[in-house]
Amino acid sequence: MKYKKLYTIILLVVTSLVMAWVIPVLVRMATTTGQNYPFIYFSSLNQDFIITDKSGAKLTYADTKGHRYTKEQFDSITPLLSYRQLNMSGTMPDSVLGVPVTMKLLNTKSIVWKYTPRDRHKPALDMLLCTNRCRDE
Amino acid sequence: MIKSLFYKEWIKSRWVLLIIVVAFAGVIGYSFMNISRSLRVAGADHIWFMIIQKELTFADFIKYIPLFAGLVLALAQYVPEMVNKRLKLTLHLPMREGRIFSTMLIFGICGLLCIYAISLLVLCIGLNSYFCPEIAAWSLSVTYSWFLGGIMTYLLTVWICLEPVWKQRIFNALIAVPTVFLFYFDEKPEAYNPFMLCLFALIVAGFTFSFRSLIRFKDGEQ
Repeated sequence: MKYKKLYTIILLVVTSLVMAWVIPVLVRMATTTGQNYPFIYFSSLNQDFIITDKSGAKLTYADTKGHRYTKEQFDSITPLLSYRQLNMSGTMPDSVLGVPVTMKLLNTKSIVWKYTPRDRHKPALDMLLCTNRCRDE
Repeated sequence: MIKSLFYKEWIKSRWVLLIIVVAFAGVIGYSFMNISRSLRVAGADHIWFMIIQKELTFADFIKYIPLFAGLVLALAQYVPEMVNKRLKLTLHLPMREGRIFSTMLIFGICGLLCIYAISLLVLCIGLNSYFCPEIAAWSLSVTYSWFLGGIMTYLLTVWICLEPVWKQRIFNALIAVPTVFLFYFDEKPEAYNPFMLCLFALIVAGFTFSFRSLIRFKDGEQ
């Protein structure tokens, strides 16, 4: 039988490609540690981003200009995020930027939308949910 | 001669092929029972929500059955050939060795492809009877890489079985396991589509691996 060299080359190429994937995956799995990435929230009162950083011993809150905040201050400048804590402590504002807000309104109208880098090129089923209202329309 | 070789392979593997068919029939039947139960218990609107919002698919039970099929068919065909080196007798038939061996491999691949095609057809008809065509196609698309993985498992198992040296066999197995894993990532439907050509290329490459083992076997490597 001929082509032994050709078969060996094909085998080596495939083995190299598979190992180029397997070895980094195994190394990453063996050496990976937890990452404390900062969380970023938007303060509707300050009209600025608030960065919470957990990399040190204490959780810190700061805006983009470097002003630091305590946990209570952070809650009060992010009422659309912290409305439950504010409601419990009785410091919930009546309005945000002139718009009246109530617990019922925030509970029913708040949405959490999650988007991860994995979702960037993820194929999606080209169908939508149809609620009773949209069915009527 | 090719007909006779096919018949010889059929004699060796017919019971295993029957077991594979029974395994597929059982798992597909169970999948349909599961869909029917989910629709009755949770309600069609909830299942519809889960499919669209949570990307639920209904063919997951079949995932490792093609792999199992490829593995047992290869063992059934080639372990008897390697016991007492009977393959030497086969290679002495009045035909080119490459052609003899290709015929044996093609028998296995055709056998698997027939079973896979029938399974896919039954799954397709069944899913279309429960869901609209878009959801049926979406659910079915997740299985394509698993079926290709079954063919790859068959080819790599043949490669390992034919290898005459045990140390090399272990090395082959170390390459084969991650290669097969490439076909079985836990991914969402259609995520494999851009990678399908690479999977086909891997299968074509895998077809040649066992020829290398065959040459080593013929050369009497110890």
